[in-house]
Amino acid sequence: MEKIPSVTFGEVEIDKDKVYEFPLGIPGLVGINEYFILEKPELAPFKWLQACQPNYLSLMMLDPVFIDNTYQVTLTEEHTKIIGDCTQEDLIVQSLIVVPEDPKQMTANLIAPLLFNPATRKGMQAVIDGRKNMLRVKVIKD
Amino acid sequence: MLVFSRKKDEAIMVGSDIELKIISIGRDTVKVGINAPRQIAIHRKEIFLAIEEENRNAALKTVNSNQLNFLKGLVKPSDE
Repeated sequence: MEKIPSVTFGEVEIDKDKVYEFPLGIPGLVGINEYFILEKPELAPFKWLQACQPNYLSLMMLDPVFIDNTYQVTLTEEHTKIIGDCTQEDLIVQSLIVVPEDPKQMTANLIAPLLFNPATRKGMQAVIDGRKNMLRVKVIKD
Repeated sequence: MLVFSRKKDEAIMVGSDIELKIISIGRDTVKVGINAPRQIAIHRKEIFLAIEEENRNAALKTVNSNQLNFLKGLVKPSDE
């Protein structure tokens, strides 16, 4: 276990063995390749992508099936070359959530899901075929 | 930036396994065909830039304690 100063939660303990390496990083978050999936039982199903390197950013995430129950990412060679082989059942898929001042207006990025392979502890941000309006999909329907 | 002039059906090689081919030339759009190994990600640049910006938004808009409380409120009703 190691303690890191999470931007959102202050000091948090992370299990070093459960850190995911993002070999390609995440576009826009330069120089951060190690992330941990931070879960708070009282905030489930929301999770946080906790950077394990300065500035210890934490980005809110949600499994996209909560937004669209037909949502599925089909793994291709483009993905497995980076995160290694993974069955669809083992693959962890999460969408980044942007929470504006009014949290009711929060949106999920369904065009660029995060993929985590628990077997290899590697992850990536994929880009799926889709329309640009999938970039900001409201989480709480009106 | 390296600049080439190409006619319809002519192509450019990037390395030995990426081919960019001019499929058709219209009044203000060109159609470009790309042959590349499957593991190479190819996206329209505006989509890539939009994703990059959205990632920064997700990173910069840190959830504060009021918003966390709102989230907890959201989660509870479904448990009951």
